[in-house]
Amino acid sequence: MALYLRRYFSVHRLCTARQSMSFQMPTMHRMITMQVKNAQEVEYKLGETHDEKNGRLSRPMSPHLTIYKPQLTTILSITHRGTGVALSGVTAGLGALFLFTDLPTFVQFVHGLELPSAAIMSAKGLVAFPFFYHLCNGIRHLIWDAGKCLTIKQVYSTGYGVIFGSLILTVLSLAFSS
Amino acid sequence: MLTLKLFRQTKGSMFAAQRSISLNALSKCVNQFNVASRLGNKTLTKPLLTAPMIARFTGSTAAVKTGKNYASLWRTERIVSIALMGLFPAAVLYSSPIIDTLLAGSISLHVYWGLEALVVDYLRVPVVGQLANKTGHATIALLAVLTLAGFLQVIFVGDGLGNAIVQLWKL
Repeated sequence: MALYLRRYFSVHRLCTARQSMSFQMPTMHRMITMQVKNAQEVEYKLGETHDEKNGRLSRPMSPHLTIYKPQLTTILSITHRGTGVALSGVTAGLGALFLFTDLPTFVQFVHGLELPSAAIMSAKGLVAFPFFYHLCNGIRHLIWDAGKCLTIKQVYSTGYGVIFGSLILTVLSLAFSS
Repeated sequence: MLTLKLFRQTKGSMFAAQRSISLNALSKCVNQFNVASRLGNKTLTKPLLTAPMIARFTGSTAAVKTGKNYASLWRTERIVSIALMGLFPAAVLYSSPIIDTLLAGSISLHVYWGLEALVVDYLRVPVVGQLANKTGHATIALLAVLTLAGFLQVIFVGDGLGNAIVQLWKL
């Protein structure tokens, strides 16, 4: 990171130098002398890793979650992880179910409980929404991986698309669930 | 393929970026980079200009250290993700042992890789210690194996993964 910053600054420095030397400017400019100041660098101790150095300097965790304003991008990103974990729990639970009992027994057991349909519907919704969210946002990630839709505007519009798309798919799947 | 295209694009933009920087500034950068890499990051000792494009780009110290080919792993992860999108509806509509087994394998791999990223990000050795990191890796491996075993059970002993999903959804 520091390398890229430095590269940017050195290019910038060249540009300002060139500007201040040219005398053919069409309008009058107030001359500003720009000065580049690097952040104070702390050198690595011998054999120290990046994490050890940060620990030694007691630097705060990045991103500093308590001072960052929540944004659509970050919320969608962490929700992708959260839904992924939830779905992993669902698949592991299904695996355990198939491994230790069999499906007809489980179906009979659930019928025997005589749950109200609202309870069954909300349980299905709790699986369906993460599934469709993860599906839609996964497609969005694949589009990014192909190098498309990477401007801020497109990132936001596809983000809203993911929210509405996953909600609609959830409602549709629940409508065709019995 | 998506990935190939991505790779080509990034490579192109990298070259373009290099061309736009004047040679003077670049050589200065290289010097600074070399100094920095000699000081701390022992793994990246090659000069910037001669290091292979991939190593310079991914830049992850782990990739250089372990010699594991993370580029092809990344590509495989994407291929499995794309395959899942087709296999899931295929298994639900036409449940057959072949499709179900492919789906079961893809889901287990996807779960494993997804949770592995979590362990790598949140259970880092300097933060939580070696033991917790190892436990995390073991736990996710166990979860993936449990998932795969259960799915194979329902495919070859029960009446198929796709059918099982439909039955559960119709409850």
